[in-house]
Amino acid sequence: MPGKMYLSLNFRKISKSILVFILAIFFASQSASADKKIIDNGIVSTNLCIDALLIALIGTKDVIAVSSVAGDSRYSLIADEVKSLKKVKFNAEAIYALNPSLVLASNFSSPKTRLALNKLGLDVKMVNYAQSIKDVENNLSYLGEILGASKKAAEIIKTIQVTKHRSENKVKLEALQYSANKYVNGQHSLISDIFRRSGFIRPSQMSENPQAGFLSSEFIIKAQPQLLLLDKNEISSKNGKNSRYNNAIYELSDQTSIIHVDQKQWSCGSPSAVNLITQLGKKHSEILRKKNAGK
Amino acid sequence: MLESRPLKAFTGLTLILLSYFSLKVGHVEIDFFPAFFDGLSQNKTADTIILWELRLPRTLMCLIVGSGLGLAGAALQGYLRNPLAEPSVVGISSAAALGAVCSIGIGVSAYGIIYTPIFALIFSMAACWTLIHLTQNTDSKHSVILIGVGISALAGSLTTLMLSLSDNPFAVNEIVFWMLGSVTDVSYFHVLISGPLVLLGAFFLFKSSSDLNLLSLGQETASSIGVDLKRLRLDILLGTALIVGGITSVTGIVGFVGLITPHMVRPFVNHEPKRTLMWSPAIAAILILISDIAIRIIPTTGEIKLGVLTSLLGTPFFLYLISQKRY
Repeated sequence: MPGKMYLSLNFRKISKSILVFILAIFFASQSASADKKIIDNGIVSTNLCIDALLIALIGTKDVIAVSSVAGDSRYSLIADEVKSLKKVKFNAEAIYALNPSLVLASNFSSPKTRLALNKLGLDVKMVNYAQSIKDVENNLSYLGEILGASKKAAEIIKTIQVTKHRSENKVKLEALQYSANKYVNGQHSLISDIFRRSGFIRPSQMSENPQAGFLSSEFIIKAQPQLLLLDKNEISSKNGKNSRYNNAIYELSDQTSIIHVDQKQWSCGSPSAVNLITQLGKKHSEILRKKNAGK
Repeated sequence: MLESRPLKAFTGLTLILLSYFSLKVGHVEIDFFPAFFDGLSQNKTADTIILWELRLPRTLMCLIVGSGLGLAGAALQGYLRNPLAEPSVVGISSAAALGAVCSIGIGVSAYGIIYTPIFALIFSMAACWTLIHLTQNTDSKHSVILIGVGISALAGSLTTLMLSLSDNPFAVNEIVFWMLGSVTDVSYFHVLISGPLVLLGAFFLFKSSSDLNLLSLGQETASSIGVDLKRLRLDILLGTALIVGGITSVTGIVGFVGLITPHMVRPFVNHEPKRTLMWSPAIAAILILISDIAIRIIPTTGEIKLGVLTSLLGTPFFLYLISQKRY
């Protein structure tokens, strides 16, 4: 028995030493590679939002392919920049054929395909869908780290932080974004965060329903937000109206200030989403000025 | 039985009451009568805009959709003498849906709200022409069903192809929602697209109503009495195409109403095709109004689509009818 106990204690000691050794090697390798490029063959990005962050951080040099929507100027702000790059769908075979050293995928991407890519030996890194400006900053930090562009990431984050503070002491006005397909984003979405940071809050009628969803125009008209952000559509815009909306929405223009903004400006958690904070901040001041003048 | 005065009055009253509720009940509460009179005096408030610009066209559209699909279903079941016939059986709804899907998929819909209905209408007319063309040399009603099923299958596959080939996830989203069928946020513009086409289609179908009665005696007997079978088929198909194309182009696919309404009406009119044709529009309009009011009452975060609800309500009812009738 004592011999057995001795062996068991010895085994524990050896196991602990091995574990400590492995952890030491792991952390050492992590810190050594922190600012070192790990990209050899190139990167494949498979989501429009990740594409935008990737291009902002390292440009197109080490990128083999981006998502197919990234090349479509109707939805992408980086369509011109990625013109020369290959476009890829989130399909294991197509991605594997490009032989990338790193694949960037959204947490909403198909788990089946991610598993297939892992089985094929590809390094797949997941980037979370941004639901707030803070998420954009986190994604930038994370990508900066794995792409060896931490410095650039820090620069962009700093610019974001300079812009995002502005609303703190402002009078809160009600605002809502309403898509042409009748979709309203929820309380925990990037656009809601952009509104909050520009000095706007969700209309009181909608506060009971913080979820995203498809809503009839009735809700929007009844809510009468002070600012209504509608989709901009160069093609179907006439007389300052987007003809894809029911015309009744525009009847409210006396009570509600309506602006049209292209969804691509904010739908992705890209650094450019922050520009909208500046634009909305100006609109906030303008509405408040009008409101005060009317008193 | 439905011809009895009290039942006529009851049906009319139900339609009026449901139309009133359709105007009064909605996603948000409005002060109905002030909004009604304010609207008449051009005084714009949120409530008047909701009542006059959103709910009134929606109620009118419900009446158009219900009466149109009920009429088309009754006419097809009467002509084909097939209790399973409905507008989608002849492939026109699927073709209209394909047209709409094409307009969204290739991005034309972004140019304005008129383009999706126009595409849907063109495709439904093309399907109608194909159906008439392919059935002109046959007297068999089964051929009409089989060719219709073929057109429907082809349109369905092409729709799926468009969806699977679409590069654009935003378009796919829009296509799927469009196909579910809805009257939410329709405007007078949509009413003006659908209304005249449904009226024109109804003209062709009502014109054939007496011939449909004679056809129930059998094709040969009807022909010997003087029914022009080819002319009758042309009228029925053209009427159905105009109605279904006009409706589907605006609302998407609203299923089951055209199928179940004639089954509901028939026992009350002694299974007479002409009278089934006369009553189906009113009963179908009641069904659509009830469904659309239910959509607005049922508490959900988003909105249930009309096509989904009519199928959900219609299927059990239809199964019950079938189990009672033992077809």
